[in-house]
Amino acid sequence: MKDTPQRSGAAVKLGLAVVLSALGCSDGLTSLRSFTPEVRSVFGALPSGIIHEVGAGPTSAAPDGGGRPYAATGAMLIPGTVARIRASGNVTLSRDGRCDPQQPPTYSSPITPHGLADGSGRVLVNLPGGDPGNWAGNQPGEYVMHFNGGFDTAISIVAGRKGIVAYCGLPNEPASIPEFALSGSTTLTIDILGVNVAASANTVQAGQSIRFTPTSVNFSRTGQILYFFDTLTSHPQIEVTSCTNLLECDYLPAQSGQMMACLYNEQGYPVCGKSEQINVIKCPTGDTLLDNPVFRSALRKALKDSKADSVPTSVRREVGGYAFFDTTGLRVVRTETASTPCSVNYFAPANAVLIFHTHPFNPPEGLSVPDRFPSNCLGGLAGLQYDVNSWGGPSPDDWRSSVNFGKPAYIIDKKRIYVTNPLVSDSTQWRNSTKRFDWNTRRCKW
Amino acid sequence: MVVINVAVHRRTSMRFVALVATVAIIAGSGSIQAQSVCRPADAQTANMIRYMKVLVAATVPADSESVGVRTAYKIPAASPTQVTLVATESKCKSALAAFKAKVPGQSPVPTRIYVLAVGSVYVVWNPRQGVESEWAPHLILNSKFQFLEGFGG
Repeated sequence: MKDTPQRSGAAVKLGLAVVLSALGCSDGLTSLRSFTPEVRSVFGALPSGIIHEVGAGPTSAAPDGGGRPYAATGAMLIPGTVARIRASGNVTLSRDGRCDPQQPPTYSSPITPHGLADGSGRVLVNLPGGDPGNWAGNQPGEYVMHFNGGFDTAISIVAGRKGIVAYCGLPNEPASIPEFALSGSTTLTIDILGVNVAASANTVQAGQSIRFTPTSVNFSRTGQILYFFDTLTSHPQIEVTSCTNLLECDYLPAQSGQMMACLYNEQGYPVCGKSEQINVIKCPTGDTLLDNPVFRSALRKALKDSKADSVPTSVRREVGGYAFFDTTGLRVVRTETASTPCSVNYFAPANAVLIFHTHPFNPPEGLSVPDRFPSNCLGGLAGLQYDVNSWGGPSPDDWRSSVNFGKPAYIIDKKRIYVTNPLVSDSTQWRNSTKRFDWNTRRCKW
Repeated sequence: MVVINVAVHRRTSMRFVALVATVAIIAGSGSIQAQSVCRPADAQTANMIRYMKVLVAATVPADSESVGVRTAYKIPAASPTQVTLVATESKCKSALAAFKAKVPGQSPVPTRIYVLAVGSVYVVWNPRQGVESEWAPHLILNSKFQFLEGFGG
């Protein structure tokens, strides 16, 4: 039985060949040799656990002109992606002798976004590679720039930005007079660095640990492994444990949430995998349906939708539905059509494995203050509900529905969940046949 | 997804069926013996007797949960042997009158009633009528058939 949404296991293979036009020193007057550097992001078969998005970038020439040749990456990577940038190829820079002698032609290091000149950009990647020695210096003539294997790791790549490969002048101070023409090609290869994390389980009972086995992708792992955990994806992640140079790491999660592992790469940057949902089943019942986190979540939501804490109690509503299995696991469907604080009409198809509904009242048991039924529940009488601990929670109608349909009925009230046995048609056996599970009591709280 | 619209769980339909069956049983039994206001022992009374025996005998701390319920229901502690089904016509008539006064909305108007003696009080109920609730009203009456508390079951 599948009890959790499947993780994305499909390797995503994205290739991008973005052909960008290049700018010569485009003053519109000088005859310039345009070039078309090929900027290509190469993504191999990326394993799951890597978040990335690649699309075609702008192909137009960098608009600020002014004599700076650009090659711009068109790769769009979502923020947070960690990548390794490598450059290769040859670029020939032809100088007409009018370049500012104080600003020799160079290649960009770091690669900067196009928007940097107008202050809107951010530094995207560092590319200290290349081979500056191949530049002949600030001398008239033709220069060839080689990019061979220079690389670095980006910490943050912002979608839609461009990177400058070569220019004449400072990135922030484009030359006013074009003096160079650029030819050749440059290939930028972007390797997405990722982490695959295999978890021994996504769903465990409280008190059980999970063994994580991370695998680095496109980089060599160095140093410790960090594990981050959060109960809500929107919350800041909290480092919960680390394992130094271990291939495996055991972790004992206290509650459900998102788990993520990060490894350090060669440059010392942490590279993280995609967050994985970890479900911790509190107070396991042994009932595989009731221990399913999808169903538990649906039950809690149903009770919430019942307005079970609302006053006056007449605004409360029973809600109900059914659950079935498909290829993704357990699916829960709500089908209530009409309801009152103490009744609900709902239906279920033949492939349902269970039916469920709510009793949005606090039963009169122990020292707790019981809720009183509103008068429309009992024909004008505002009375208490059956003591569910002694009686069993499901009403006689609930039992009949379960027996007639042939599937167990799950009823959640503000303290417990009750499960009928559809095989028990003798009403005198209903009380003893009802299974009861605390979910919101001192003994157990989900 | 194809939804089988058999309404396997439509209580409205089931209630209608249950109502027809009840009427048929009442009509059939009337031809055999005189109609008593006191409803006879059946599965419902068996369940309620068992339930009330648990409540009246509960002690603290062994079963403080049931003691709390018993207090909420305003039922005194008693011996389980003091939980019995009432078959005395006069008592059932008094209980029925109290029931109809406290639960006036029942249709058809009940003519028979379940009456359970629980120590010094009575637990009185009628099979649920109507479709507004899955719960049947139950009354706790004192020895003079005055209302003490009510609950749904």
